[in-house]
Amino acid sequence: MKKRKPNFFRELFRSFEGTVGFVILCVMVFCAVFAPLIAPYDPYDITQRGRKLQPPSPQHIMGTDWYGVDIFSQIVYGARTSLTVGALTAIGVSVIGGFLGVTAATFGKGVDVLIMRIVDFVMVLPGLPIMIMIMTYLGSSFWTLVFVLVVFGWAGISRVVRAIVLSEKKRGYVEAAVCAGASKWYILKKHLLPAAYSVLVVNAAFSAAGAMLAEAGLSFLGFSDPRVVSWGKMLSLARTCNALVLGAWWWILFPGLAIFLASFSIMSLGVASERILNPKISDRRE
Amino acid sequence: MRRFLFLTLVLMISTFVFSSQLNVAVLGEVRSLNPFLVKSAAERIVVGYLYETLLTERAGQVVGALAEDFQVDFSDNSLILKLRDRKFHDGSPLTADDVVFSFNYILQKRLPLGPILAYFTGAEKIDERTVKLKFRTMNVSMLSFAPMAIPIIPKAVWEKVEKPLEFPNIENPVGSGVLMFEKLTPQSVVMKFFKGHPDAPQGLDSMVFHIVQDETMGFLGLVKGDYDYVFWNLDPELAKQVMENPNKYPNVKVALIEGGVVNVILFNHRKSPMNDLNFRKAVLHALNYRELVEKVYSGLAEVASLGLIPKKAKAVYDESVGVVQQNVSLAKELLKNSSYDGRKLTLLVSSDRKAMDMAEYIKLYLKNIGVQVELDVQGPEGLTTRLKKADFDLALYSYSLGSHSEMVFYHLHSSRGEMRNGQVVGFNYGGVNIPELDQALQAIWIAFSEKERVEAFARLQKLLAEVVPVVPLLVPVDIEAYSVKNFTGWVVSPTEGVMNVETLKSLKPAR
Amino acid sequence: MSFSYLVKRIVQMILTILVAVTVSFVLIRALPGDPAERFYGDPRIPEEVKQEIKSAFGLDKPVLIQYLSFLKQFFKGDLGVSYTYNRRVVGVVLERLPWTLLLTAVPTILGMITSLSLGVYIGCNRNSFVDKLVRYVAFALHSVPTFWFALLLVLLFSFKLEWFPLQGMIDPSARGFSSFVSLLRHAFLPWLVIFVVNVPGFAVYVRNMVILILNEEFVLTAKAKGLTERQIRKRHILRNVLGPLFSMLTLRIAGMLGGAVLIETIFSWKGMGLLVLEASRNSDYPLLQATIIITIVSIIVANFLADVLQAAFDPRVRFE
Repeated sequence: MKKRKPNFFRELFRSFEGTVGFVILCVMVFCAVFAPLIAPYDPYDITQRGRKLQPPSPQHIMGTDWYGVDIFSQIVYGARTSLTVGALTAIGVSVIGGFLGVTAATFGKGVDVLIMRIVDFVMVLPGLPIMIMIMTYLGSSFWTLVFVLVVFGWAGISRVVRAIVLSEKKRGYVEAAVCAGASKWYILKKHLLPAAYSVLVVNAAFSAAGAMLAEAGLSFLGFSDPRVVSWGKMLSLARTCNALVLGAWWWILFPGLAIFLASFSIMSLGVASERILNPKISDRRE
Repeated sequence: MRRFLFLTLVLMISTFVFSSQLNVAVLGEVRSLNPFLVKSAAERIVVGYLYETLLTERAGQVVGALAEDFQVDFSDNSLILKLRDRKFHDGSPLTADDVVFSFNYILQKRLPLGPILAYFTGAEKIDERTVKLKFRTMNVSMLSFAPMAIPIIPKAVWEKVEKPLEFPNIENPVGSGVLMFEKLTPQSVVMKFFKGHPDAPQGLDSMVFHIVQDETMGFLGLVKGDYDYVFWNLDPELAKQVMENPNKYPNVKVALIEGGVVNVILFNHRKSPMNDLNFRKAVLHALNYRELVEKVYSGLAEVASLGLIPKKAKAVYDESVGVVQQNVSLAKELLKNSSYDGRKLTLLVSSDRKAMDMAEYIKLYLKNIGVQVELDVQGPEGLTTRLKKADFDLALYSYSLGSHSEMVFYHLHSSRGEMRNGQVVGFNYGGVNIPELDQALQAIWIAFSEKERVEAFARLQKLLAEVVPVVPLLVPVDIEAYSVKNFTGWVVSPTEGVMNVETLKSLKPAR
Repeated sequence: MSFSYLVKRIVQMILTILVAVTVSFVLIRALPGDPAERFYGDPRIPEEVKQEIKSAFGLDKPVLIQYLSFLKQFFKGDLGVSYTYNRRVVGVVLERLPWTLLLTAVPTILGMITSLSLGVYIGCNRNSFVDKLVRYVAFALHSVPTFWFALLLVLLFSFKLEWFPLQGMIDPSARGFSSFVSLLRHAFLPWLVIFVVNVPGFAVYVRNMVILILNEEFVLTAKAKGLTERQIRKRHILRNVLGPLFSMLTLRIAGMLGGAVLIETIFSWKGMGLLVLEASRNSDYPLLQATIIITIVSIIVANFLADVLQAAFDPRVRFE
C-alpha cells in the first residue's frame, strides 16, 4: 500500500479531473479549516453585519443577505457544514456498507441472502420522502441528518463490495489459503479486505458528493440545524426572504455554485482515483 | 367571420367589465372546511367567511353578529342572547334550535375547541329568538370562548354527521356567512356572495381564494394583477421595496395596520434570579428597543407599551404608561443589586428566523450588562414542550392581545401557572405569582361594562409597568398589500385592516 | 417464463410489503408523545376525552392486537384518518398520485426516448466529440443541485422573461381546452428540469450497454455475415437495449412516485412530494405514514413488474 502512494499522486495529477478535483477540494478544505481567518466577517456575530441586501462590492465580494450578513463569509463557514456532512457520511457509509458487504460475501448462504434482501429493500426506498419522515420524527439536527444520510447510503456500497469479494474469493490464491488451513478471519483481513479497499475509496467519494447534495436539498426544505450556517440553508433563506423579488441574484447564485463545486470536485477525484486504483472496473463503468 | 370576431370581442369586453370577481390569495392549505377542526390560517380565513358566530369583536369591543346583544345572568352563570332574523345559505331560517344544537353538538361530540369544554355546561332555547348559554363560572373570557368562538351550524345538516372528526365538510358546506361555497379545487376555493346577508356587497358577485404555497409567488401574482389582495402580512423588506419604488409597482398598495401581537421575554419566576424584581428591571433597561425594531423588522414595528396592551385594543389601551428607553448604566446598577450570580442563563426561542434574530440581539444586550445568555433554539413542538414543562430561564414569546385583551389573565394569573404532573396547567408558563397582579387581573375578569373595563385595564397596565412580570419588546406592524389594477375603492381601516365590510361594499371594477 | 419463477417473485413481493408495513407500524409507535394529544392538536384536552380518543382508535389495547388490526385494516385498504384533512388518508393520497405521475412520467418517458437514440448514436461513435460532450455533461450534472437549477430557470424564464407562470398547475379560471393549455404552460418548466437532468445520464447508460453488446459474439457474427451497420443497430442493439431500458423506466417512474419533493416545492406542484412535506410540517402522522407506505408498496409492485417483464423479454435473466 505504502509503495503505491507517491505513484498515486503522480498519476492523479496526470489526469485533468484529478488535478481539478484535487485543487478545488483542497481550497474548500482549507476554507473550512481556517474559516475564521479567511472569512472577512463572522456570520455568527450579529455585530459584524453590514447593510442589508447589498450587491457584490469590494467590501462584500458576494454581497450581503436580508440580515446584512456577508455572503462570502457564509460560504466559507458553510464549507465546514457541507464537508463535515460529506466526510462523516462517507465514513459511516463505507464502514457499514463495507462490513456488511464483506460479511455477506464471506459467510454466504443465509447471512448473504438476508443482507442482500435488506440491501434490495433499502435501495428501492424513496430516499427524500423517507428522510423527511425520519427527520420529522427525530427532529432536525446535524446528527440526525448524518444518521439519515448513512442509513440511506450504505446499501449500494455493500452490494459492490460483496461482488468484489466474491469474485476475489474465486481466485486461486484464496482457495490456496483455504487449503493451507487459514481461518476465515485471516483470509478476510489479509486478502479480501485489501481487494475491496480501492472500491471503497471510490464509492466513499461518490457517497460524500451525494450526501452534500442531499444535505443541501434537505436544508432547502427546512430540515436543517437552525443554528448552523450551510449552503442549503442559505438558499432556503433566500427563498423565504423573497430574494427573487428583491432582485438579490447573488444570494441564489453563489451558494448554489459552492454546492456544485464541492460535489463536482469530490466526484472528479473519485473518478480519477478509480481509474488509477482499479483500471478494470473503471473500463467497465465507462 | 368579421362579425364573429366582433361578437367575441364584445363578449370579452363585457365579461371583463362586468366580471366582479375578487381574486384573493391565501397562504398554506385548505384541506377541510369543518369549522370545528380548523388547522391552518388559510382554512381559518375561508371558514370565517362561511360561518358566523353569535357575537364578534371590533376594535376591542364586543359587538353583535348573529345575535343582537347579550345579557349576563350572574345568578346562574349564564349568558342570554337575542337572535337576529337571519338565514342560512340554503334559504332556511337560522333559529334558536340551530344555535342550541351547535353548542350542544360540541359538548356531545367533545370537539377540540380549546377550553370551552372545561367551562361550558349546555345551551337552552328560551323562545324562537332567544337562547341561554350556561357555564360553570362567569367572567369576561366566557364571551370569547363561547358566543364569539363557536360557529353556528344548521341543525338539519349536522345532525346527520355522526363522526365530526372524520367530516371534511367539503361537499356542500352550509353556513350563514357573507360568502357561499361554490367549489374547492387543489388550488382555489371559489365562493359567491350570499345576497341574503346584510353585509353582502352590491358590486361584487364572487370571491376566489387562490391557495399559494409561497409568499414570493403570491406577491408576484399581486404585482401581475392575478390577485387583488393577499391574506398575509408582507415581509417588511418587501413592503419597503414597494413603498420606495411606486413606479416599479404602480398597482400595488401597502397598508400599515396596527399590530395586535406583542413580543415579550418571559421570565421563569420559579427560579432565581428571575424572581428578583431588580434582575427583571435590569433586563428591561438593558435592551435597545429601537434597534430591535430597525434591525429585525426594518423599522416596521412599534416599541411595546410597558402595560403590554397594544394600541390596537383602542378601548382599553392606556397611553400614559409609555415605553422604556435603553439605559445600560441603570441596568448595570440594578443588576448589581440583584441576586444574579453570574451563571449562564438559557433563552428559549423558536427556530423562526425573526425570533432567532431578535434573540441574538437580546443575547448581545444582556452580555453588555454582564448577563451570560445561551440560546436554546427549538422547533414549534419542542418550544411548546419546553414551555409546558417550564424548562427555561428566559424565553422569547408572543401574546396576541390586540383583540380579546382580557386573555392577558391566562398569561399572568398565578392560578394559570401552577404545575401539575410536571406540566404548567395554563398559559402562565413563567409561573408569574404576584398577589397584587392577581387582584388586578381578577378585576378585569368581572368587568363587563365599558367603564369598568377601561378602569380595570388602566390599573393593570400601571401595575405591569411597575412589577415587570415579563419584558414587553415590540409590536410588529401588520403589513397588508392589495392591488388597484382591477378594483378601486379600498377602505383602509386602522384597526381592521383592508379586507373589511366597508371595502367589500365600496369596491368597484377599475376601468 | 416459468411458473415457479413467478410464484417465487410474488411471495417475495408480499414478504417485502409486509416488512415495510411492519417497520412503519413500529416507527409510529416508537414516536415520543401521545397519539391522542397529537390528534387533538391541543395539549389542554381533558383526561377523559383523551381516554375516549384512545379507545376510539384502539390505542388502549395490547400492541400485538393493535398490530394485527393495523394489518387487517391495511389489507382492506384503510390507513387511517388524516388529522388535517379529516378524512381517509388513502383518498387524499390517491388524489395526489396522478399529479405526481403527470409531473414525473412525461419527462421521464420523453427523456428515455431521446436518450435511447442519443445513447445508441454515441455508443456506435465512441470517443467522438458528441460522445465526450454528453459524457462530460452527464458527469457534471450529477453535481448540480436540481432545486438550484430549477430556481435559476424560474428566475430567468418566469420572473425576468415572464414566458411561463411562476407556479401552480392550472389557472383556476381556465375552462375546457384553455385549461389544457394552461396545464402545459405550468408544467413546462418542471418538465424541462426533470428532462434535462435525466437525459445525459440515461444516454451514457445506454451507450455503455451498446458498447457491451457491440463486443458480444452475436454482433461480431452478424458483422461477419456482412450485415450493414444499420441492420445491426436495428436488429440486435435496439432489441437488446430495450428490455433493460424499459425496466429502468418503470423503476425510475416508480422511484419518483414519492414525489419530486424539491421540484414540487419550487413549482408549488401539488403532488406526493408536497403532501409528504405538508404532512411533516403539520405533524399529520397518519397521512405521512400512509403516503410513505403507499409509495413503497407502489415501488415494490413496480419492481416486481419490471423484473417479470424483463424475464419475459430476456430468457437469460431467469437463471441469475
